[in-house]
Amino acid sequence: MAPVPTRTAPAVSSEGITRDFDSDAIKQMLPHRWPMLMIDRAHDVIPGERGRGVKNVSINEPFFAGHYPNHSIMPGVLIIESLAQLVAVIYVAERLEVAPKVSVQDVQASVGYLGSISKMKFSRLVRPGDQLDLEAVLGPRFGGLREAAVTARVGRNVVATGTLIVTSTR
Amino acid sequence: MSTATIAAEDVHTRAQKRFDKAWRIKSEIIDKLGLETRPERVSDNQPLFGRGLEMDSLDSLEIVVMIQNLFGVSISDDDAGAFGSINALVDFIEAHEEK
Repeated sequence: MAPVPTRTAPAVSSEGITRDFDSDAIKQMLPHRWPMLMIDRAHDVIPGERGRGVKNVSINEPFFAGHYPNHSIMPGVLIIESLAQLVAVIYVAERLEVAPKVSVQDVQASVGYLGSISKMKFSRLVRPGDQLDLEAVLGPRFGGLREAAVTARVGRNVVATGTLIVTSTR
Repeated sequence: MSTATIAAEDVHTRAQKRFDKAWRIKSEIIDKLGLETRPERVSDNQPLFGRGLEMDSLDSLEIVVMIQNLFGVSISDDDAGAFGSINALVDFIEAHEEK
């Protein structure tokens, strides 16, 4: 089994070591593929704690064909999906810190499931050409579950914010 | 005042504080989990999981976060016994909160 390649050298920020992951690295971390890979890049990731990410919204995405044919709006639930995938990257980054030589299959298998969505608010519509600036801050753990406060912005405007609970084990 | 009177007052105060905590926890749980009941209808010995309040593991994480925010007390995986009932939760908080 090939180990997950390290893509970039870690940067040192005022909060400690942070990591960046481009989409090739993310594909080694998450089992998600087209049409459900909803994060293009992750940056300033403090493994297991918090991180930021980018998802570019393109007219070329399959869901725009139906949502809606004459009025392209990104579904809120897919904004949540992008945020949940950032949370997964932050998780897996922690796993890689602990066991850097682990195989890609094992790493992808450690991605958990979405357990709960609460207090999600969608403040603005998201359209083709927007760039989602994603942020996730992970909170307490209990019983194999973990809370994450998530926010998506386009420019300076918050477009979605709320709390997710994800499983941390399979 | 006699020692007996002071002791009785002390017990009364502690009992009141405990009652207030239990009430607060019940109100917050009902509110947060959207339960269709009222604090006075929740028994302190009622199981939180399964028969009783029918909480699940997702609810338990929400309670952990709530207790952390309200009382500054952290509940870890090793303390799962704290979720046996409202009484068990109050016992745990009283044992771990800073005086």
